[in-house]
Amino acid sequence: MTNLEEGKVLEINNLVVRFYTYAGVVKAIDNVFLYLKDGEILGVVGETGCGKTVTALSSLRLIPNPGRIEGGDIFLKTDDGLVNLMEKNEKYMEKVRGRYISIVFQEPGAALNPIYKIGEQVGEALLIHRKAHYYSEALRRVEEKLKVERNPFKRFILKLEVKICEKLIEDPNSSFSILLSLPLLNEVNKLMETLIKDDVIYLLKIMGLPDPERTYNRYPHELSGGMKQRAVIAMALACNPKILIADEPTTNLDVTIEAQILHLIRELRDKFNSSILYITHDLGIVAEICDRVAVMYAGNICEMAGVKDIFREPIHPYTKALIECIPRPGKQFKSIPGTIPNLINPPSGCRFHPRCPEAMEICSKEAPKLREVKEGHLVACHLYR
Amino acid sequence: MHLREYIIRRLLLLPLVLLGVMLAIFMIMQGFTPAQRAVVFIQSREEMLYINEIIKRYHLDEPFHIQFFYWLNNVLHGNLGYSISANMPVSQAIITYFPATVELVFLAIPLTLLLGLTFGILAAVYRDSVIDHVVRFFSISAWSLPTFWSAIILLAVFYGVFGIFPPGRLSVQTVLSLSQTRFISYTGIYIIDGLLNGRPDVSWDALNHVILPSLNLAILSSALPMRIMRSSMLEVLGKEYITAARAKGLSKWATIWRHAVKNALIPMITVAGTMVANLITGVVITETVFAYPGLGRFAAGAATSLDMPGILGFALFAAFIYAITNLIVDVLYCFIDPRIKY
Amino acid sequence: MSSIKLFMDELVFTFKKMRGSPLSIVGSVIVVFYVCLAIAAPILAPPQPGRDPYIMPSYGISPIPKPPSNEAIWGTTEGQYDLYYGCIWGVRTAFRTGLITTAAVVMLGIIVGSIAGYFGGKVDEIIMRITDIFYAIPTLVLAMAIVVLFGVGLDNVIKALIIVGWPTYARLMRAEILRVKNEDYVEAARAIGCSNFRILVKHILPNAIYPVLVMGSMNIGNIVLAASALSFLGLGSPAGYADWGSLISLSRNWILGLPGNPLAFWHTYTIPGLFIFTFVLGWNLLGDAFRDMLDPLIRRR
Repeated sequence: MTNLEEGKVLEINNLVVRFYTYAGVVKAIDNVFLYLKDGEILGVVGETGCGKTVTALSSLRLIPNPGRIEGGDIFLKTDDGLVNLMEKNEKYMEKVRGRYISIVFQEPGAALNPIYKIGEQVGEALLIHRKAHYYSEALRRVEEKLKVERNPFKRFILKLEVKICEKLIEDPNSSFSILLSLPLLNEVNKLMETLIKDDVIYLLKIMGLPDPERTYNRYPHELSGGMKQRAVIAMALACNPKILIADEPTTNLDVTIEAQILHLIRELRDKFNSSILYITHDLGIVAEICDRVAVMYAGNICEMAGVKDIFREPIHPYTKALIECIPRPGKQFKSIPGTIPNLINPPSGCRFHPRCPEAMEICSKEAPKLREVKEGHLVACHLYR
Repeated sequence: MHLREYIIRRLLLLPLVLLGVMLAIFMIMQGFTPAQRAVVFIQSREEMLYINEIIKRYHLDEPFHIQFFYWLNNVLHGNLGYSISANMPVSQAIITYFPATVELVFLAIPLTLLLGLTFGILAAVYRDSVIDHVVRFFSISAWSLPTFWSAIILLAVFYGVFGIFPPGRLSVQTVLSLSQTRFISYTGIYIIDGLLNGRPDVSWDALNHVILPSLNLAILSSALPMRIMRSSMLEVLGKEYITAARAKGLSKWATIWRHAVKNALIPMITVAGTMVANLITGVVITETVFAYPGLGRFAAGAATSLDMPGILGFALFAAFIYAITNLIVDVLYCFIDPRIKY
Repeated sequence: MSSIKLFMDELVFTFKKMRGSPLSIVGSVIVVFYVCLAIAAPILAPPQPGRDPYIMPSYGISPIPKPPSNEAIWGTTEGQYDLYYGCIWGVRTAFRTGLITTAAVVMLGIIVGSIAGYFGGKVDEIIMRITDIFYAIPTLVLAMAIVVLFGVGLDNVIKALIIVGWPTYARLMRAEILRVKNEDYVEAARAIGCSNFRILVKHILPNAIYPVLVMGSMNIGNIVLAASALSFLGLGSPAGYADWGSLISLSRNWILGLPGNPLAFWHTYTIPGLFIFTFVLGWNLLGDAFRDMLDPLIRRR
C-alpha cells in the first residue's frame, strides 16, 4: 500500500490517535485507512464524535494536547516525490501546511482572528509560503527604480536594499528582514505589501466576495457568515494547495449560502483540479458533490466506495442504517437504536456490534479489517470476507 | 465621531467623581470641631496662631454648604492646607515628593509587566508542566505576601548581608557633590537628569537605590497580571483561529506571538486599574521601609503624625491618579479591540 | 425553613467538590491548623495573671532584641516582648480582625446590595453613586485616612476596613439579586401574592447570597494583610499588643542587625512575617478553591 500511483495524492494508513485525558485514555481513532485521489472529492461521513475532524487534523499533525498520534503512516505526494509525514519533523510540517494541505473549519468566522483585518490574514497565508517569490518580485521592481533614480543618496539606499533582498531570497526567514523594516530601508517592504495586497484582492474576488478592495480592510465581525466562510476558503487556497480539507464548512450556514459554497467547492475541483476531503454528517451533500465516500463510525472506517455504489448498494450494516434514516415523505421516521460508544471503554471487537442488527459472535471478539469486496468498494465487516 | 464624544464625556465625569470624593471627605470632617477643621486651610505654621480668624474667614461655623463652597474654592486654587509632618503646604509636599515616586514607579511597572506577562504566557503555553505549577504557586504566594515583610527581607539580605542596593534615594556623597556643583533638575528623575547633566555617576547611584523598592513593588504587583495573563492565554489558545494559523503553516511561537498574545492582552487591560490601585498601596509601604523620600513615605508619615491635611491631600491626589488611569484604560480599549465602538 | 435547607445542601455539595483539589486541601489544613492554634493559645502561651492576655509579657527594659533563650523560646523583640507569646496570641488577633470585619462587611453588603438590587430605580442609582465614590480611592489609602480621622487603634482599623470594604459586597449582592430577580420562580411567587419582603427573604436571598459568602471567605486573607500593614505603619494596635504587624514594626530598627552580623535579629521579623504569610496563604488557597467551584455551581443552576 505504499505506492501512490493510480493517481492518489494522500493516503492515511493504520492511523491510531489517543487522547490522554484526566478521565481516561480516549481511543479516538482506532485504525483508519483512507486515500484521496487526484482531482476528486472524497466525502467522509459519520455521526458527531466519530473522529472525522481528528482524522483531518492528523493529516496536518495538528492534534492538540492531550492527544497524540500513536501509530500509522500518512503518505503525501509532494513536488519532491512521495513523503511519509509521520517521519518528518515540525519544520517540514510547517512547509506542508497551507501549501500542500489546507483546512477549512466548521464555524465560519472562528478561523479568523477578530483583531486583524481580513486582508491581513489572507495575506499572511501568502506570505508564509511565498516569501522568496515576493522578494524576487519586489527586487525586480526596485532594480527598475534604480535605473531611473538620479539622487546619489537614494541610489545608495536602494542598492543596499537590493543587497539585503538578494540575501533574503536565498533564506527568506533570516534575520536580515528586520533591516528592511527600518524607516529608510523600507522600500522593499512597501512594494511587497502592495504586491501581496493585489494578490489577496484577486483571491477575494475569485472566491466571490463582493467589493474585494473594501473587504480587504474589513474586520471579521463586519462580515456575514457566508462572506466569512468565503474569506476563510480564500485563506486556505491562497498558496494553491493540492489538497483541501473541508470540515463541515456549511453546517452553520443557511441553505442558500450553503448552495453557493458547495458550488464554489465543485468549481475548485473542476477548474483548478483540487482534491478535496469533504467531512460532513449530511448525506444529502454527499450525494450532491462527492465522487467517493468513506463512512466512519467510532474511530473506524466501515465502508469506502464510489458515491453511486454507496447509495445504491450499501454493504455495511451501519451504512445501510444511515441511509435508512434519511427522512423521506411518506416514510416513518427511523433511527438507529443505541448511542455512540464511550471511547474510553469502547466495545470489544467491532465497535458497531452492540447496535448492529446483524451482529454475530465473532463481531464482539475480533475487529474486522477493511477489505475490497467489489471493484473500488471496501468494507470492514465480518459478514463479508 | 463617537470616540471623541466618549472621551469628552469621560473627561467631564472626572471632576464630578472627584467632587463626590471631596464631598464625602468633607462630610466626615464635619464630625470635628471648627478648630480641628481649620487646619485644612492654613498654609504655614505661623498661621496656626490665628485659628479664630481662620474660622471666621472660611466660615467654619456656618452651615455646611457655605463651608464646602469655600473649601472647594481653596482646593481648586491649589490650597490643600498645611502638612505638619512635612513642614510645608500640602500642595508643595505633593509636588516635591512626586518625582521620586514617579522614578520608582517607572522602574517598577516595566519589571512588573515583564515578570507577569512573560510567566503568564509561559505557564499557559506549557500548561500543566513544571513551569505552570511554579507560576501558579508564585502568583498565589506573592498575593499572600505582606509588602512590608518582603521589603524587609530584601533589605536585610541585599543590603544587610551583601551591602549592595542601599535604602534611601541617593547616597550621602552624591548629595554632597550635588550641592556643590551645578545640577539642573530637568525632570526630577535622577536617573534621567544624571545623564542629561553629564553625570552618569548620579544616574548609577540613583539606580542602585531605587532597584530594591522597584523589585519589591514588582514582585507584589506581578501576581495579578501573571494569573490573569495565564487564564486569558489559556482561553485564547483554545480558539479556532489559533489552529487555523498553525494550519496555514505558521510556526508555534509565531502563532503565539502574533495571534495569541495580542488577543490575550485585551482582558488584561481591565485589570490595569486594579494594578494601579495596588501600586499606590504598595508604594506607601515600600517607600516607608526603604526610607525612600517619595509620596508614599509622605503619606505614611502624615498618617502616623495624625496630619489630617496631609493624608487627605494624598487621598485626593491618589483618587485623581486612579481616575485618570481608568479613563486611559477605557479609551485604550477601543484602540486595541476593533470590535468595540462607542 | 426551606431556605436554610437549600443553603445547607449547597454547602454539602461544595465540600464534596473540594476534595478533588490538592491545593484546597493544603489551604484547609493550614486554616484548621491556625484555628487550633487560636483555640489553644491560653495553653500554649499562658497569659500572665491579672493582665490583658493580648499584651505581651516583657522581660526587661532593654530595647535590643534578644535571641532565643530558656525564658523566651523564640527570643524577644524590641522592648523585650516575648516573640513566641506575641505570635501565638497574634493568631487570635488575626482571626478576630478578619472575622469581625468580614462578618460586618458581608452583612452590610447584603443589606445595602439587596435594597439596591430589589428596589432599583432612584434608590439603586444613589447607592451605586455612593459605591463609585468609595471605589475612586485605593482602599488602603482611604483606610489610612479614616484611621487618621478616627484615631489610632486596632478597633478603629477594623472600623476603617469595614467602611472601605462594604461597597464591593454591596455591588456583588446587587448583581446577584438582579440576576435572580428575573428568574421564573420569583415571578411565580409574586403571582400568588407574596409581599416584597417575603419574596426577598425567602426566594431571592438564599439563591443570591452564595457568591457573596464565597467572596467573603476569599477575602479574609486580604483583610488580615491590610490590617497588618496598617499596624506596621503604626496605625493599629499599640506597641506591646499581640499583633503580627505591630511585632514587625518593632523590628524596624533592627533589620540591619549588628556590624559584622547583619542577620543578628532575623527572628524579630522573619517569624511574625512567616505567620502572616502562611495564614493569608491558607485562606487564599481555600478561597481560590471555592472560587474555582463557584463557576460550575452557577452553570449548574
